[in-house]
Amino acid sequence: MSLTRSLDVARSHLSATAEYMNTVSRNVARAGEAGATRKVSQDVTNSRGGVLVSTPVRSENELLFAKTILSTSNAGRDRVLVDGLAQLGNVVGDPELESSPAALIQKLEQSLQFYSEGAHDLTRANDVMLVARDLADGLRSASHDIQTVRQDADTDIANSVIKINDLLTRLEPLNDEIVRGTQTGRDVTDQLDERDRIVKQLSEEFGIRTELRENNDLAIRTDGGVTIFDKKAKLLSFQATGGISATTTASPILVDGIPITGPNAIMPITTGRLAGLIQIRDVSAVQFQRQLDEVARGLIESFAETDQVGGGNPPAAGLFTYLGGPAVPATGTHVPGIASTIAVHPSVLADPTLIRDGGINGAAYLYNSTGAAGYNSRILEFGDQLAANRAFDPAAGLDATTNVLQFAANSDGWLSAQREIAQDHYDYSSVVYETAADRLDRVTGINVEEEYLVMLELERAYQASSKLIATVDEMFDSLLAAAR
Amino acid sequence: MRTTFISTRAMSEATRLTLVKSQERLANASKEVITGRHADVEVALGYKTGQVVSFRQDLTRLKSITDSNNVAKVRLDITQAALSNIVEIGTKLNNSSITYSSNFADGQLVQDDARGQLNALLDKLNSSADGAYIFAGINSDVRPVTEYFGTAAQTAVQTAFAALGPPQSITPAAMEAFLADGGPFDTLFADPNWAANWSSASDTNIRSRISTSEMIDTSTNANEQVFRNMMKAAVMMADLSAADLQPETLKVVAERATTVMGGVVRGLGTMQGTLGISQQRINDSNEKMSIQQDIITARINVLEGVDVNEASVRLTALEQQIELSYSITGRLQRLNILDYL
Repeated sequence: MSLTRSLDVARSHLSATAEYMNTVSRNVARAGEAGATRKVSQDVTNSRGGVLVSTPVRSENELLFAKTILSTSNAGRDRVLVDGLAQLGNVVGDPELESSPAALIQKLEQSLQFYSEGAHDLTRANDVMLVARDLADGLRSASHDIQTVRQDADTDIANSVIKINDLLTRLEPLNDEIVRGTQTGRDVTDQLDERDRIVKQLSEEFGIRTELRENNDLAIRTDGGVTIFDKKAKLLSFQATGGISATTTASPILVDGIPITGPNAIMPITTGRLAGLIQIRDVSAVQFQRQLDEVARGLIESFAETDQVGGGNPPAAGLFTYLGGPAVPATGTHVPGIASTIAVHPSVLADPTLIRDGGINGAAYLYNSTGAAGYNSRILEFGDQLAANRAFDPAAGLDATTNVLQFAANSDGWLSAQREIAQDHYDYSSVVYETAADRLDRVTGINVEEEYLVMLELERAYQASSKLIATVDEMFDSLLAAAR
Repeated sequence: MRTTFISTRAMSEATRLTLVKSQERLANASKEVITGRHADVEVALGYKTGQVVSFRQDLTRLKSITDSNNVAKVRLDITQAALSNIVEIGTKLNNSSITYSSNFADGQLVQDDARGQLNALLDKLNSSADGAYIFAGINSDVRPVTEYFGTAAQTAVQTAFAALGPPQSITPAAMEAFLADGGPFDTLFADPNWAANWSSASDTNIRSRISTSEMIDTSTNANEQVFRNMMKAAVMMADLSAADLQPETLKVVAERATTVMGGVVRGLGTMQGTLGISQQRINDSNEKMSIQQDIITARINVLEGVDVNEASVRLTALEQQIELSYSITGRLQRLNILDYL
């Protein structure tokens, strides 16, 4: 071994140290960045005994990353469900506020009871009419609010699809660069970090499964199994539905013309914000609307007038009527959107005593044939009707045989149960997500202190190599002096 | 190989998340301490919310029935008060009729008295409460009985009486037939004449729902037989005791009036009893409903309420926890290896 050789090794070490310092400073600079991984350079001994620094590698953990992706999607869906259901919950309000349809129906029953004790009293008739109007308005506005929730979800879906497509589009060149870089042995750690970030953002929007192949090539499928990225991105297509009403069926999300959401999807997505939004728009809100419709239909049925003259006239919508009135809708059968058109009959608005007398649909339906001012059997009958069991559409997902008051209360209970379940799921999935993200961050993230220490080490090593060079130099000096 | 590791970001992220979560819990706990209810009742109760809503419905229903019961009670109280007055009138009429049948000398006096009592009776039957005539049945906006003197009612009686011929020549037997049940005079107080000449009241009494399951009559009406009989006797004494009648015939009138009045006093007693039972049932029902309301309110409180003590202990613990978090965060911030190297 010659002195020249030693000098050569020390020199290679100096440049290696500079390379290391470069990595350290990159790490320190990115310490606060979300998703930034720690980069580690490794040295290899070269053929002449010196050191060479390889391209840096990331500290990565594929398993933890996959777990983070999965839990991100779950938490994303649950978060959206909690929010969406809370919005639906606002339609009903706190039980104490008594602003729900159930409470309004109860108020109507109360007014009717009061009216029955003074059927001659126009003030009480007016009171019943006003409360009935509030109830009809309440049902209509609740129905409108539900559809607004659906509309908002639809808009969010459209925005989410735009974001996903944007991410997928950015992913394509990035993935190409990584594959090429890996093949040629370039440093692609920054690109890998960026790709992970995009994948994580994608997983917030919808459930995905990733597959890492040769040369760091990434393929992505939805959690339903539809490939959306394999060298090339397959973009999602979605047609936002304008003016969603109770009778609207909103459109699904398509990949290659095949639905990945909705009843026709063979491989539907099940997690991520998109899945949550779809669930709110197409299932929860629709079901809640159906229940509201059944409440409205139950009311129309409860207050319907029957023929009083034996003329074979069909029952007709009385105090409450709707767009399809005066025909009373078939019992136990959901009429889509009836809650958005229910209203107090205009004749009753003009003359509230019709509540007591009947005859809203003409003389054939007149109950108080003698015109007695204190006639209250019809008013008492309303109370009985509200408390009477009737058939509700089983599709509403509640007790199919119960009274309209109880049905409305059950609907409140149903929604709250959904909210409780969603909140439970979210509590769990958010903890899982935080834990997974924390683990990943701990394992792959950067610790500034550690970098400082590495830097100290490097400094010392640099000093040592410099010292070595100086020593070799001195040795050369003395050698040359001896030779002179 | 590293076995333990913590990245700088994970460390600051952990304290941040802890803080955010604790603050959220703090907000909820303080709301619970103040209101005594769950911060978000619906999420806390879940499917049990339906139960609470149902309980609240029951509560409102019980309250509203109690309220309307009080209205019915006022009506019954006023009816009872009027009936007491009517009983007094009946007693007076009864006394008059007895006096009348034993001593014709005071005929004019008795007649005047009977006229006064008849008017008083009509006045009482036209009593009203809460803007409704209490003896009108469901026809509550119409005066149930008309005045007698100078109206179609009197004309009808006089026409029927005139058919007997000149008063002086009416035999006791003819008078007996005239006043008998189903006779021409009696018919005037039966339907349809009664409705045509006297009464606008409805036979249908006001029914009230006094509990969630009970419906009872909470009024009476001027068409009740006892009122018709009372008026019948009063009219006999007030308008048939023409001075021209033969003493024997007059005696028939007086005795007939006495017989009718005897039934009336009993009938009024029965009516008071019946209405008294209604009043009692309303009171019972109110009492029962008040107990039910207490029970339901307690159930609602159990479901919606939180243990305030527990919540305030939780609040204190959270406050300490957050303070601790702040101080730890501060220390972590100061912890920098550069300061020590």
